[in-house]
Amino acid sequence: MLAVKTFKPGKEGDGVSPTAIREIMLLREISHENIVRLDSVHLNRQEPCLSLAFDYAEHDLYEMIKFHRDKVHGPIDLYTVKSLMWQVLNGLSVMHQNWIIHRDMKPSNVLVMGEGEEQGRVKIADFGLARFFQAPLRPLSDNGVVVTIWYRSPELLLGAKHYTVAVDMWAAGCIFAELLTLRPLFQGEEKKQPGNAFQADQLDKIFRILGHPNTQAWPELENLQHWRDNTENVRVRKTWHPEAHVGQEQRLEEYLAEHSGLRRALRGSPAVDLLMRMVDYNPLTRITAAEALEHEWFRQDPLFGANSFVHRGRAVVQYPRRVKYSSTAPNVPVHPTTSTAAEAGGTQSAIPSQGVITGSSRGGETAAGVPARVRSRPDLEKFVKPGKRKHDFGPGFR
Amino acid sequence: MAANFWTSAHRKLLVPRERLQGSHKADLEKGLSDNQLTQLQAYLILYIGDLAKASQQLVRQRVAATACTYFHRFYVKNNFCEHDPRIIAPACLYLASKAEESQIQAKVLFQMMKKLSARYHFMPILEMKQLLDLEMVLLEELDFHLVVFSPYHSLVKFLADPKLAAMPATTTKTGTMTLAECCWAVLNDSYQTTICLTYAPHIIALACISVAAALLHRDVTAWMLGLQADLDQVFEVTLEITLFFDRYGQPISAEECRRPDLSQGCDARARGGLRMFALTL
Repeated sequence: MLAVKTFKPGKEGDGVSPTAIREIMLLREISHENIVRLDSVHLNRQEPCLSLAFDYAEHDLYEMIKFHRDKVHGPIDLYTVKSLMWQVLNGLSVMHQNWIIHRDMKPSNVLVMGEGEEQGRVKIADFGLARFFQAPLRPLSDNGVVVTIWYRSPELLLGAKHYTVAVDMWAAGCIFAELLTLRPLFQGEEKKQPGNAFQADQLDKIFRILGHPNTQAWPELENLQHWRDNTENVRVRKTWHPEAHVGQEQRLEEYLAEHSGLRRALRGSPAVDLLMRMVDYNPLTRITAAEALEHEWFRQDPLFGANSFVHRGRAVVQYPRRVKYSSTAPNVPVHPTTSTAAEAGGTQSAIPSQGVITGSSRGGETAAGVPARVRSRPDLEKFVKPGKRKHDFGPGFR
Repeated sequence: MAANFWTSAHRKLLVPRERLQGSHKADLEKGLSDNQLTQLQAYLILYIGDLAKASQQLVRQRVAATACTYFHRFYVKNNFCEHDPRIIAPACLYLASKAEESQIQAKVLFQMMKKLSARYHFMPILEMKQLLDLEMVLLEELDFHLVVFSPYHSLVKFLADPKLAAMPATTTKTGTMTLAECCWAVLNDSYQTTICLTYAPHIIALACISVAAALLHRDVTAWMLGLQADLDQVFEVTLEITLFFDRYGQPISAEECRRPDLSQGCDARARGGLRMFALTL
C-alpha cells in the first residue's frame, strides 16, 4: 500500500513547489526505520503536476490521540507512549545528525504503521518544511514562519532569526505531553495576519504553565526581537498560574496530575524530568534528541519496544483504520506489485490551519493551506492512467 | 546519508572515467569530435557561471557549482543533439537554486538570460513553459538525487590549515594573489571538466590546491604527504585540470567556429574561463 501526495504548481508559475523539492531531496538522501520511505515519484508533464508515493501508514498520532479522547475515554498505555516517544526521538536524532531540521513536528506528521511487518513503528513524515542547515547560503528565517502554532517554540514566537534543531525538540516535548494527557499542551489562539504576526496568546498559554522566562536561565532572551521591543508588553505579561512561586518541575507535575490518565504512573517518574528538559525555555540548554534517548525514563520498566502496539505479546490497543479509503477502496494499480491508498486528506482539518510558511513561497498547495493531497478516487485514477511517466525506486533504494 | 559523503547518494552516483567515454554517442555519430564536445561543455558551464554572476549576489557560487554538477550528470546519459544544452543550462541553475534553498524567480532568471544573450552569441531565451517542463525533465534524469556535496566545503577546511594559511601571496604580472584566491578560481574553472562526476569532493579540493600551488610557485608536497588522502587520485585530477587548462587555454580558430552546425554554440570564448590561467602565466 502506498500513500500519494500530489503537488500542483502554484499560480505564480514558479514550477515545482519548493515544498516538493525539499521533500524529494531529503527523503531521497536519508533512509531510516523511523522516517517515512519515499517509494517513488510520479511526473505528469502535461498537467503539469508531481506526485510522491510513500509507504502507507495506517495511523498517526493525531488520530490515535483523538481516538483515546473521544472513543476510549482513557489514557494511552504507558508502554505505547514510551515506545512512540523513543522512536520519534530516534528519528529526530538521525535527522539532526544529518544536518536536517524538520520544522513541522506535530502529532499528525508522526505516522505509525498498521498491521504488517512494521506494525506499531513510528515514521516521521512531511518534510515539506525541512531543510539542511549545514552551511546555509540563506538564513533559515528566509523561509518565513515555521512550525504549526501549538508546537512552535518560544524562541520562534519571540522572533528569533537564528534558530536550531532545538525547535524540533520543543515540538517533540509538546507531542510527548499530548500523548500523556490527550490534549495539546499549549493550545493558543492563532492570530491570523499576513506575515510574521506576534502570537501573544500562544506565549500566554506557555507562560501559564511554565512561568515567565527570565534572562538568568536564558541570557539570549534579550536579543530576541519581541522581548527586546517588549511587543504587546510581553516582558511583564501576567502569569496566571496561581502558584507562580513553585518550581517548573512541580508545576508540570501538577499539570500532568490534573490532566493525565496516567497520573499514578507519572508520580515521581523521570518522565516529568524528560518533558521539562524538552520544553526548556533556553534552546541552548534544551535536551537534544541524542541526549533524550539516553534519558533514565527509557531505561525504566516498562521498556520501550519496536512495536508500540504490542507489549509482551499482548495487543495493547486496536486502533481503527483510516476511514476514507481502507475498506471500500478498490485496488488501483500503480505498479504491478502494489496497490494504492490515498493518504486521508481530512485528518488535519481540526488542527489550526497550518501556521507554516505563508504567502506565495509554498507553491503547490490547495486553497486550504494544506499541501495538496489526493483527495478523491477520480483524481487518483486520472493520475495513474497508463502512459503517464512514473519512477519507482524499487527495492534497491533503502 | 546527508552528513557523510561516504554513505551518500552522491558517492554512489560517481561515474568511473572509463564509463564517461561511452557518453555522447549520438553526438559523435553526428560528427562532433571529442574536442568539440569538451569545448561546448566548457562554454556552457561558463554560461551557467556568468548567469549566476549576472544575478548580483542572488545566486551564490555554490549554487552555480551544483547546477554545473546537474548539467554534467544530465549529459552522462544524454546527447547535445537531443537536448539543446543552451536551454538545459539555465534549467540546471533554476533547479539548483531551489535545491540550495536560495530560489531565484523564473522571471529574474529570464532577465539574467536576456542580459547575457548578446555576449553569448544570442543564446535562445527559453519560454516560461519550457523552463518549467525542463525542470521536470531534469528531476527525472537526475533520478531525483539533488543533494550535491561540494568541494568548496572541503576546500575552506583545508585552507584553514595554518601551514597553508601562512603561505605568502605571489606577485604576478597582474597583481598579487593568495593561495586561497587561486584555489577558488581553479575550483570554479574545474567545473568545465567532468571531474565532479568521477571524484570525491575532497579529492577535487586537494587537486585544486595542488594546481594553485604550482601556478603560484609554492610547494605543498610536504603538507599533502601528511594527509591520509588517496594521493594517486589527487594526482590524476591535478593532471586532468592542468591538461585541460593547457589544451583549452588557447583561442579556437575562426575556421573551427564557422562550422555551420556549430556556429551557435561553439565560440572562441570557450577560452574565457581560462582567463585566470592565462593571467597567472
